[in-house]
Amino acid sequence: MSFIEIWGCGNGPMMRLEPQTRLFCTAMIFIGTLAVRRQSPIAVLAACAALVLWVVLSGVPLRMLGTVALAALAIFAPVLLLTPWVETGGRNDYWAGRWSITGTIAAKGVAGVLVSVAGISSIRFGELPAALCGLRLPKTASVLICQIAQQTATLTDETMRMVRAMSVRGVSCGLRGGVRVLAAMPVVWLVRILGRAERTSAAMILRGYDCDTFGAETGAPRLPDRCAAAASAAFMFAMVIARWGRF
Amino acid sequence: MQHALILENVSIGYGGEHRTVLRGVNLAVAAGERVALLGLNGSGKTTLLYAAAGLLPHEGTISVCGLTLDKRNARTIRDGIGFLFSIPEDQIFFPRIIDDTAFGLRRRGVPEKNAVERAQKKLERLGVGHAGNLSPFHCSHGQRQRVALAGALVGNPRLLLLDEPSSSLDPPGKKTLADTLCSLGAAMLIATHDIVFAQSVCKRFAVIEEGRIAYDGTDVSRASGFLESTRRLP
Repeated sequence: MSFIEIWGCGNGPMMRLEPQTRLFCTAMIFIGTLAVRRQSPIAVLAACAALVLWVVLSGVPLRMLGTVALAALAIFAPVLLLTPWVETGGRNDYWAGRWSITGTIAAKGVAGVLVSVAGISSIRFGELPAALCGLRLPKTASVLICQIAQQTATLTDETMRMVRAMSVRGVSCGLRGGVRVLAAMPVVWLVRILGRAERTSAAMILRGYDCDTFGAETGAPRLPDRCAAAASAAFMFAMVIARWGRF
Repeated sequence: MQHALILENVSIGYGGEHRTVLRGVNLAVAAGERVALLGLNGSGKTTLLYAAAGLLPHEGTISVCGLTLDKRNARTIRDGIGFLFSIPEDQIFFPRIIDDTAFGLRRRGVPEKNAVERAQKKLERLGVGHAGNLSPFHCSHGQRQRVALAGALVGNPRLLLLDEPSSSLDPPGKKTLADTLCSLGAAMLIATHDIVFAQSVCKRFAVIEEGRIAYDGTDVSRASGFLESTRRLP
C-alpha cells in the first residue's frame, strides 16, 4: 500500500459530496477528535461514535483500514513507554493518572490518523486543488498543502521503487547482507531526495511556479443541500466538542 | 540570421575547478533550427542544457533570442524556453495532469477555459488526451514523459531544450513525438543517445566529449561513428 493508493480508494456515501465539503468535514472531525477531553466520558463516546461513523461513511476498504491502524499503533504506542516519567500535577503516585495521560495521547494520535486516512480515501488525488480552492483558503496555504501532498506522493513512489530494488537485490538473503543494505539505505535515500529536490526547484524556477499561479479563479457556486448539511454537522460536532467537551 | 541560442566559450565546473564539466563550449542554434546534442554518459549534455536555461553559474557568454543571460534577464529568457527534464516527475507539480499542462498558460494570463482547452489539445496531440483528469502517479513513466513534454510545449516557446525526450517512449510514441517536434517552428537543442530519433528530428548534430564540442555538422554517420569510436568502458 502506498500513499497514492489511499487517495480516493473509498466508496462510501461521502463520495457523493463536493470535494471541498469532504475536505472540510475531514478537518472538522479531526479537530473534534483531537479536542476531546479525557475527563468527559460522554465527549469521548461522542468522538468515538463520530470516528466510526466517519470511517463507515468514507467507505475506506477494511484491509487498508487495518493496515493503517496497525501503522498508527506502531507510531503512537511507544508513547506509552514514557508513562513512568509523566508528571500528573502533584499526584505522581497514581499510575492510573499517568496511564490516562499517555493513553490519551496515543489514542488521539491513532484516531487522528484514522480520520485523516478516511478523509483522503474519499478524495481523489486530482481533486485536491479543486477542494482547496473551494475552501477559499489563502493561496499560500493552498500551494503549500498541495505541494506537500504532491511531493510526499513523489517521495513515497521513489521510496517504494527503492524498497522493491532492495528486495530484488537480496536484502532478505542473509543477515549480514540485509544489515549492510539497510544501513546504507538512509544515505542512498537522502542523496536521492536531495538530488530530486534540486531538480524540482530548478523546474519550478524554469516553469515560473509561484503562489499567484495556483488554481483556477472561479465563482462561488452554491453547494448542494446535502453538502451544506454534512458541513454543518461536522462543524457543529467540532465546536461542541471543543467548547463543551467536559459535559 | 537571428540565433535562438548562442554559447560562447562557456565553461562550467562543479565544486570549484576540481570537476570541470564544460570547457570553452561554443555552439549556436539558429531560430527554428533543430540540433541534436549527442554524447556519452557524463559528457556534459544535461549540464549544457541547464546552463542554457540559466540554472547554473557559468563562465563565458550565453545569449537566448538576442538577450544575454544574466540575473536581470533570466526570468524573461525562461519565459520563452520550454524545458524537458530527463526525469519527468521533477517538473510535474500538480495532482491532476490537465492542471499541470495548463499551468504554463494560466501563468501567462490565458483565461482558464481557453488554457484547459489548449492543454487538452496538446495532451491529445502527444497521445495522452485520455489522462487529463488522472493523477500523474497513475500513469506510466512514458506517459509522464509525454505529460511533461506537453507542459513544455503548450506555451509555444521559441527555444526548446529537451533532455532525453525519447528515452521512455515506445516506438509509436517516438514517431508521434518526432512528428510533433518537426511541426513546430521553435529552435531546439535535443540531448539524446537515440541516433535514430535524433536523425528523424534534426538535420544538425553536435557531439560533446569530455566537456568540449568534438563534432558539429550535418553528417549523422560521422556523428554516430564519432560516438562509437569514443566509446570505452571504465
